[in-house]
Amino acid sequence: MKRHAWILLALGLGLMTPGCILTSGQVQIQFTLPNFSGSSTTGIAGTTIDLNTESEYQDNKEKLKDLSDLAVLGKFTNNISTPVNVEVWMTTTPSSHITESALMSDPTRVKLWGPFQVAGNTTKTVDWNSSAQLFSVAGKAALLSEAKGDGQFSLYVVGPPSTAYDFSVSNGVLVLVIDVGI
Amino acid sequence: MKRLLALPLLALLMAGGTVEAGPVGLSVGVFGGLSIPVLQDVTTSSFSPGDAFGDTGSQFGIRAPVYAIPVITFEPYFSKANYKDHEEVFSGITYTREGFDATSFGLNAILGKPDGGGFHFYPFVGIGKTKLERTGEEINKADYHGGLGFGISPAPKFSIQLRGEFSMVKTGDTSRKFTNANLGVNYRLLP
Repeated sequence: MKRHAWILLALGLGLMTPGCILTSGQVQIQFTLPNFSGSSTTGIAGTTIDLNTESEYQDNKEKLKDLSDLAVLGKFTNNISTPVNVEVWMTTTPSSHITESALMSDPTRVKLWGPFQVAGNTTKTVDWNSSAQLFSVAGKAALLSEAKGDGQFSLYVVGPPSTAYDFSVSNGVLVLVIDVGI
Repeated sequence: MKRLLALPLLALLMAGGTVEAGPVGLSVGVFGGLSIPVLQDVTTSSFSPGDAFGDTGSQFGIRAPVYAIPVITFEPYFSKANYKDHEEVFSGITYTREGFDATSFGLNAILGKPDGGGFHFYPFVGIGKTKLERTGEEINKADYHGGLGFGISPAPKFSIQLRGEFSMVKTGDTSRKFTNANLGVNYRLLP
């Protein structure tokens, strides 16, 4: 009887230990993105994200184990008649590049997401399932590393190199689902 | 994976070994019910206890209790589950995220016999392999589960099974958890 009591006590302590496999969950975090634009003639505009500004992230940062699901959502408008394949790139250190060539020269750049095709002179809202498929393996790893690190990085939306493009992105949101030990 | 396959093989070997020593019992059963994700894709800043449970899914499967040794019944199983899509509004636009499709197989160890005459309450534990799939995400990991079952036999060779269980798919240092409730019927093949 005494031995059983000790086993139960040990099990109970195990369940209450922070980060236990059983006491874990998947927490969804969303970041509203500013309106983006990208043009092969007038240049690109990036945005620096600081995950620490989100209370959801702050509450769970120390318990973060993995990134289980992620998506870039929003409305993509192609302002010219040629179809465009939109890509999202990140620099793991905050930056403020205004041209695609400057972004591509940044040693910390990583392709995060895409390509997402938008037909000429149309607006297309990316759906959540399609978006979840468009993340690159390297991009996902870099985002996880940033989430576990200082939580600060820059995002850029660009078109394919050496082609004419002009698009804008509105109602943008970055959705992350993180695995946390509770 | 090898370890998971070893468990059903061990059960079959034990069953085979006891064929010589005594009669081996075997039933087959089908079941269906509900499966509810626990603490998955929650928002902690606006969390309320009701948010702990995600969109309910349906579950169905087959199982075959093997009565080879006293006290413990080994039960290989195969099941499939389908979870509802999840809708959410971001920046004024409604988006839908596909729910997981799950495929599981493995082995349960039941204390006692789930079927036979009269009423039976029985605890059980199990280990298996579960594949959770949805667009852009796939998890294929070991599954640990346990729960409580209730069996009643309304007619010879037939029994009705009601079970509640907690299931955990281990994903590295964390897990995806589900609570399941299902109702099934078993048919006794042997003896």
